[in-house]
Amino acid sequence: MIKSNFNVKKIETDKENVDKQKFEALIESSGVGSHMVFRTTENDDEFFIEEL
Amino acid sequence: MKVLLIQPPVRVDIDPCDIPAGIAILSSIAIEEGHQVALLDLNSSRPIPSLRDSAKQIAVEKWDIIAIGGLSSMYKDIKKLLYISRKINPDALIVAGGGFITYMPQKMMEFNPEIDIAVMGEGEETWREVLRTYDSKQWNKVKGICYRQDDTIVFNEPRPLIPNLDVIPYPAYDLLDMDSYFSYSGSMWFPGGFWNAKRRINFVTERGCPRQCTFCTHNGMNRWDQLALYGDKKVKEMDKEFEYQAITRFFSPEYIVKHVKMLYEKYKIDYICLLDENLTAYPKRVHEFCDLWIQEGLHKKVKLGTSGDAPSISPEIVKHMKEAGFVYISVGGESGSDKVLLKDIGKGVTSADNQRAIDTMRNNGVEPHMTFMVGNPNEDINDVLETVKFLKHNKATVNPFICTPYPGTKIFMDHEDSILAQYDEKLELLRNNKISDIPKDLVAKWKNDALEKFLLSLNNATDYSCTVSQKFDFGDLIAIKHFMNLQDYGKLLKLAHMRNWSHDEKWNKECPVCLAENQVSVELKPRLN
Amino acid sequence: MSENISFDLDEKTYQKLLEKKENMGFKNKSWNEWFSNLIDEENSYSKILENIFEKKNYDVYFDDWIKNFKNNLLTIQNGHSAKKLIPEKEYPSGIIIGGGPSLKKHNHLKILANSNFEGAIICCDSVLSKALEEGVTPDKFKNFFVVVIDTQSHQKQWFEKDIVKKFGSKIKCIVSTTVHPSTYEAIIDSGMEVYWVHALFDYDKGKTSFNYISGIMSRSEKNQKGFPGIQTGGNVGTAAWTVSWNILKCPEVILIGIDQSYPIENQNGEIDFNSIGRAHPILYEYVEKIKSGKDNSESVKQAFPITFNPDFNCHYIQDPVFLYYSNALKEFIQKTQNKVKTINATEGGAIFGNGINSIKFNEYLKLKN
Repeated sequence: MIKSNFNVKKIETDKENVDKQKFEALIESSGVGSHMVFRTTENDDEFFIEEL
Repeated sequence: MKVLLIQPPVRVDIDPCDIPAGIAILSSIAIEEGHQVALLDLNSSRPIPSLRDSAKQIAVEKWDIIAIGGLSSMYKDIKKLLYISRKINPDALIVAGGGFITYMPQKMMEFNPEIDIAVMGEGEETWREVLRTYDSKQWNKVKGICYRQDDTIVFNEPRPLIPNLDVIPYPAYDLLDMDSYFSYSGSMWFPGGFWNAKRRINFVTERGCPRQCTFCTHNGMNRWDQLALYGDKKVKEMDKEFEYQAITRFFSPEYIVKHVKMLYEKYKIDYICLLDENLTAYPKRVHEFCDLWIQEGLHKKVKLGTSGDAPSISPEIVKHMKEAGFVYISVGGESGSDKVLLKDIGKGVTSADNQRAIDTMRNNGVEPHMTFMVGNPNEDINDVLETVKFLKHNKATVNPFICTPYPGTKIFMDHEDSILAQYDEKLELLRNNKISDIPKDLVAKWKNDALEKFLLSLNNATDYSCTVSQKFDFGDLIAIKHFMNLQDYGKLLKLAHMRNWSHDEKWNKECPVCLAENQVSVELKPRLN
Repeated sequence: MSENISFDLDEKTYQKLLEKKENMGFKNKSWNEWFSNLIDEENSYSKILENIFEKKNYDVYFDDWIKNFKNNLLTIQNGHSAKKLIPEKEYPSGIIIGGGPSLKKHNHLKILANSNFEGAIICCDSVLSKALEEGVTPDKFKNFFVVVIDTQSHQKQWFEKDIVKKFGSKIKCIVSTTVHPSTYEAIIDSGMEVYWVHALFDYDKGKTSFNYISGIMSRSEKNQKGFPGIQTGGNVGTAAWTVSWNILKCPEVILIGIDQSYPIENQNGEIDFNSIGRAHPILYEYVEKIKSGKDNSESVKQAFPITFNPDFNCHYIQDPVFLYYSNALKEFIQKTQNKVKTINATEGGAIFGNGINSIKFNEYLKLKN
């Protein structure tokens, strides 16, 4: 939100602490679909590759 | 010196399509003056940040100067931001500017003790001088401000308008979240091919407008406003001492082209909305601009849209603008009734002019965009129906604004008492002579309190805040606005009957009540006989 | 203010970092900002979600991908590539029909059936029969497509309905090479023409990846260059979105029924946990915990967030799966603003934010008219 021509202090976000392990356990115990989000370092291929 | 400029939220009911060029220009000036400058833009995304998050952002540094500005319709948020700015930075110099304070500087300084200095009217040169005067604090020498001194508010000489706008620096784009604004480029909220824009930006190429619509002001940036604020005598003195205080001033086409080329190079913009008040009112300049634009090849790179007025929209102008890449021209249609246009609004334009403008634009391939409003002082149901007829004829879907008496406008000045009475029923009793012998100072207090309630209620005219209509109350206005949007003659005419407003005979064939009465009398007549 | 720290890099490493920084959209931003973004990104909840689901997908479904692909192989090699569907002249726009709850709530299928929409219809498999029943048919909408990607055999049910068989011959079906063979059979029986795509899973892992190997194996005399690969975003709705602008070349794509969430408001527009039924057992279990106060921790709230959609003025709740899908789709829509205009007319659900245009469906159709 704030932008400056000098180094303004960065502020911490106010999110309450989430127990990461518990969060991961919740995700593990939830369902799963048969497909995943495809990630690649090649930006051009992220959505469509013409010939696999 | 550390300077923070704050852009409050504006028009939060729609996407933030327009960069806050005004405050970004002031940021550029502060940078030119050699300061450490930060811009807190609270309008760059939706939903807007909470007050708590905004306060956290303000608290990141100890600021020497905090500047905040905006329109009258932004006052509610500005007031809160002033409060938290002072709480967080008790020692900062707080400077306020823009339309919200220009028209009522004394009252705003009273209502907001946090403000140290008010910049009135056109802000660039005044702001620069405020920055240069910070160390000496000799505020009495700075034209265009009022400032707090002990328990009084001291008003300095007004500042004349900047004669050559080309001296104004570009906005400090690096201090804006341009990516956020570009992400709204194709916003559905606006017509005119916006939604084909990928990287859209806004721009102003002129300041002022030759028309004197009763609902309008110019943030103190043209002759009409100066006359209203300072009086005839003062303005003529400024004409003699400086330069003629113009009705409209322009950035040169060369300045605009150079600026756009920089934006194209840096941001790959493909669409510019020229948020001028009335570009087409000066045909010679339009042609000069379009000639240079085309000569520089910008017509192939960047689409344009702008505003104009109906009488100035000629086939020659529109063809040239089309060639230059203009996609739309927005015109304040306001009403389909000549009575409202000429008497209430004082636009000097008729419905026939509006129709001609629409036809000219459509015939020459530029999309017309028209805004309308309801609730003008003497507007009655017949005038409303004329507007609906105009919209139907042009197959236009419009959700009309509600005529809102912003401070500084003629309609505000003409109806101030009735406006304030809407915020304190005691004032309404006084107006209707139902109470009397109230001490003057008590009435003044009531009016003062009512004034701030009015200012805090102001929004962007898409919703009701208060009315100057002599014919419709607030319930009527909300219903009429709704049915105008639906172009529902039947409901509007039914409302007329419910309220005992007479409507012209020509609407009988659309009126369910008149049709029913006629049908019944025709059917019953033989039976009665 | 903290001190700045400096360190040495060789020229080659510096150039690589510079390129990466620019590719990630940080060309005009500071090194501090980029590095912070990288670190935050790694630790962010959405990244944790993705990492877990990627691993779960492999563990649970990898074998199914291989089995299904193997069983479909001959058919694939002799089949049509989805590239055949690339039109000579782009459709003016495409409507994606998903099966989310907002579709029924707002009667979108009826609205569409009664409209003069002239673009392409891209229907998710699970909602196909409903669409046809409501009058959204290829008789009215000549450019009618359906997308199928899921690997389980129960997907075949969507193609066994009589109304699907009635219109099947006029519908083009874009099918992932990893669908269950019985699903393929059901599609063929319904009369549809099948056009194959590969769902992208792990192509980035190179020559040992399932995608790479299956890509090579699917090439044949008839399809010498093989078949295209599409981003599915984990679900058929996002897959349909990808298909609409990469294969069907729609410059404008409209989403209806793409909630990727569960509604959680009652008729009065208030958050009402009782609105979550036992039909969604995992979600139901956690909602019961929240309701009873047994587990109202931040972790649960993060995994099953209740969020307000300001564009459509409604609350929704998500489980981790929908959170995973919607995070991705929102990111994709924002990233591709320069390539395709995505308009969300779902009138509910989780897809809103920067770069996402929201509008009511009938308002969109009115604007287009």
